[in-house]
Amino acid sequence: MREITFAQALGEAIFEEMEKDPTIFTYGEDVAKQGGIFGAYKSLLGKFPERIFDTPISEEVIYGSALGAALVGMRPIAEFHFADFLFTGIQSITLQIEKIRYMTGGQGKLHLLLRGPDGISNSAAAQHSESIETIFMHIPGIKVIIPSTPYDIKGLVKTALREDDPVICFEHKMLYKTKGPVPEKEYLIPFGVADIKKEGNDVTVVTMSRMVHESLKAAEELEHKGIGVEVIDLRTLVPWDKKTVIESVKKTNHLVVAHETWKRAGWGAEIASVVQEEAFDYLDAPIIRVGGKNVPMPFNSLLQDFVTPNYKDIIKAAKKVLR
Amino acid sequence: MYEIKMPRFGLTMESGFIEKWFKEEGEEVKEGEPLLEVSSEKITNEVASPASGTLLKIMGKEKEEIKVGTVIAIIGKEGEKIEKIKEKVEPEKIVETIERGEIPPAKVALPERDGRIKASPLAKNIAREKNLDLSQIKGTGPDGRIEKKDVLVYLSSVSGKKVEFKIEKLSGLRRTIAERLSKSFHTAVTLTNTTEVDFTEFKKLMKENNVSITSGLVFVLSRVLKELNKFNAHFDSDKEELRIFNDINIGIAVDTEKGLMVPVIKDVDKLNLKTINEQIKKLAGEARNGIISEDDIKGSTFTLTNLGMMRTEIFTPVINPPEVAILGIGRIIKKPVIIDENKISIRELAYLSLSYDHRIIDGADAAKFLEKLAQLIENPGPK
Amino acid sequence: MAYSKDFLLNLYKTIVRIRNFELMAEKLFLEGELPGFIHLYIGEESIATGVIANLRKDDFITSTHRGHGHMIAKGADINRMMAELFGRTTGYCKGKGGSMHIADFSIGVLGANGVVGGGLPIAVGAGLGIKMKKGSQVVVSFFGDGASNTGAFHESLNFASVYKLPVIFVVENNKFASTVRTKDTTSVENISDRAVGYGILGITIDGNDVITVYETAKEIIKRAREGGGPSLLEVKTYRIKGHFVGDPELYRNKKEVEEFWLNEPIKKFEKRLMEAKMLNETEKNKIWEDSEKEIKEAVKFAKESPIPKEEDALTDLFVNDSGYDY
Repeated sequence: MREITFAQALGEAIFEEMEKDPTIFTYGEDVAKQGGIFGAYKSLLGKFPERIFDTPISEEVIYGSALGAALVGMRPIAEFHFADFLFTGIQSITLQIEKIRYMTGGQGKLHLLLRGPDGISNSAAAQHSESIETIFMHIPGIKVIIPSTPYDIKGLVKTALREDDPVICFEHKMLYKTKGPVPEKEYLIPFGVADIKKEGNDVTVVTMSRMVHESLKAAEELEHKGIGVEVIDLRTLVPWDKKTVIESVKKTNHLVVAHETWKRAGWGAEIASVVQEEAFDYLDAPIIRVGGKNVPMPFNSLLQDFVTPNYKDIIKAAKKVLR
Repeated sequence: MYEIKMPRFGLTMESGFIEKWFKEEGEEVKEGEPLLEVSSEKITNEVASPASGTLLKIMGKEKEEIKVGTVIAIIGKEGEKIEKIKEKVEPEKIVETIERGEIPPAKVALPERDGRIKASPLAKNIAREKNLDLSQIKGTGPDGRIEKKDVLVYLSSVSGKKVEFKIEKLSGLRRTIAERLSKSFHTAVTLTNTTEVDFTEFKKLMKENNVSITSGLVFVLSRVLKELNKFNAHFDSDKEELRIFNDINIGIAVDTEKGLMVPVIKDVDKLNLKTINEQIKKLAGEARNGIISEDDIKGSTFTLTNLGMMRTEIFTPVINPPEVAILGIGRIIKKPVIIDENKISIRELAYLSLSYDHRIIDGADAAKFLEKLAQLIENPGPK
Repeated sequence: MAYSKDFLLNLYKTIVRIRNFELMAEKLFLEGELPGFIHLYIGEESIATGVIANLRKDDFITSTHRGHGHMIAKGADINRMMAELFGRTTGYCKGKGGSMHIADFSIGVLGANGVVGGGLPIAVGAGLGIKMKKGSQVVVSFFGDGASNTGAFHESLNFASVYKLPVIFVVENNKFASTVRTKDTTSVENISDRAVGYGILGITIDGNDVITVYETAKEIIKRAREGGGPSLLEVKTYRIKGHFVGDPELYRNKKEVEEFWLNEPIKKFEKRLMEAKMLNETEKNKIWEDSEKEIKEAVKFAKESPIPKEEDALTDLFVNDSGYDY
């Protein structure tokens, strides 16, 4: 099977859907001429000249206008430059996009997609390194997808562009260049279906995004020590595949949740809480979460490494849980 | 009113077991109708009702050892009141087995471990399912927490007591067999010698005479026992006395539904082949049908056991105490044999396995026994 | 300008309808019958009426927390509006939105909005969508002087200007932003002056005269519809009532309010109509009677409407999944 990058897979998904559906258009900062700061739109350059354009740095209007455009029957894809900047226009998302349909008693279909990069990179520091997906799980009204591989991003984004509900897609900036197998034939990935990236019998690790790869690395090492790790990539946070996680915990009796975002009150706490509530009698040890340390992201790379979780933390957590 | 008492079969029976009641309390019974099944050490028999009427009360419980003469049931007129029976039936507990469901539910927190037993939810779940007492389980997790593996370790260590099983109370017969064999195994010094014997001519001869191999063996055995009479003896290890008998009574191990029985052919040396054959047939049949009399299953001075009908060639039969030896014969198989120094012929061979008590009999004796026996088998003269 | 009697009386009826609705809402709220907040449009009716009289059914508007007037002017069903205020299932939002979030997408009302400035980006988006579709509709975004100081205002005007979107920004300057006087917190006296900063057309007019509003709006709406781009229409008016019903109005004195009442818009329009012989006393009374009757019936309808079931709180979040049970 051919291998393409995460960014290329994303581009393909958007391209294919734009070809099919004339109501799709996309805009954001630095997308049209540059093809996106991480090259996500490179393949779209020049293809749909009227349907891709650059915007001023006006986040409230970028996100809010996506809502307005959806209400008049279009299907916009609004890019956020960095997930951190969702906050500069946050009212449009949390107070408008997430509320309108409910507040109006179900009038209107808000088919829109907000997408952009999140997570750490090379010392991008505190305002350009955040992972804030937890907030959009907490505040009801938008679906959250977080792909970790080229295969996943293509399938998920295509589904998002056929959804009638608002979707936000977080793409870890360090994954754009990673390659993976992607079939030529069209496929969709439904929301709320996790992917067991590796099977194992001793401990379940629930994770997403960059941490999926860290978990697989940890799993490989632990395999040599005779510990079987089951790595579950949730792929979507809202909705999330509770069934698969609980089935796995029933099998392994041990759970670790790993995410890059801050450990305290991160979405890992929600998963852990639900599992202990619904699979209490299957747990042979407490559930342990792996997450970032509770400080803003420091600039110095040594410091950044220290506060950011990686495969070693997952190994430690797995061992602790299996002690 | 009629009191039914525990019957005595044979002279030596002191107690027996009620295997099965054929009627329930309140049912009508007729005189002569089979009422219950009773077993002793040696045999099991149906007991017919001595009277007609209503089975008012059953006091004797199934599978419990009851002394001979104890009242086990009352037959009377329907509605009749039963007076207090003087002799209470007190069955002896034979096997103390705990039935499932009688185990008290697992306790979770006991005062011993500073007020709180730490156990993972999974461990508690398993303990609850298997009705285990958590306070008995040692925890090896952090802070002494009991984890699944600790519960499993505990389970395997007490598997004898708490593992699921089906309860089958030993019948009287089985119990006896168990007892005696155990006794033999632990007191006698049992060794087994074997030799392969050519049964070709022997087999032919038995066929001609229309008698079984077993019968032939019994006949031949009696000759050898007469000569090497040390084998025709009982050993009393307490008194350290060897009793060598004049009479040769050969017991033949018979496999029945109820277990192993050993009917005895008495005075074999005085019988001819045909008679032996008939006797064996008769007694074996009676044994299998459960109607053999006590007298016919005791008094053996030597025992023969034939596993030849099944796939066994060599085996180590256990001596029937207080006898001093036992002969086993295995399957007869066609094999190529060298005769006349360099010719190959197809012959029918079987192994004789002679187990003997080395306290009394030496290896050389045993070898001699087998030698003589083999000779008679391989060179059957006119019988 | 010659207008037909029908046309003028329609304008008048709309204004009266809005006025009566608001008066009733005030009354009901003060009697404790309505929960939440009510923000009254009393005294500003001419603006909504005058602007929206120029719009087609398939044009869009966004509104504010003070949104009843815009909704009624666009043609909303009074019964359903009243039911929504009462929080009943027959309300426009099934009782889940209330006064501040009332909307009817089918007549192009993209919602009242409880966030000051919240409607502007949505209006811009609607305009963007129309442009991408190459449609001929326009979007009117109503907002207050308070909103003209939010980031959303500035981003929206710039954006609409850059892409020449068919959006008309109507700032209803009623001189107060909640308890604060506009002139104390706004850097310009005429908000329309800001239009220059975004390269769009800006006009200030008197909002108390419905004809002026109508005529001005007509021009700029036509202009937008023909691809002339956005404009900023400042309509000066006065917020007669407090910010919300129950506002103790500690920030102004009664005399100021009374002064305005003398010149209040309905009376002004009535006078003009009567002078032009388009309206007589009998007709006027009939119009008021009919309107009051209509409102009373709406209240009856609302009060007799069913109260939502508890489980109704869990519906209408997503189109194709519940959205709440995980």
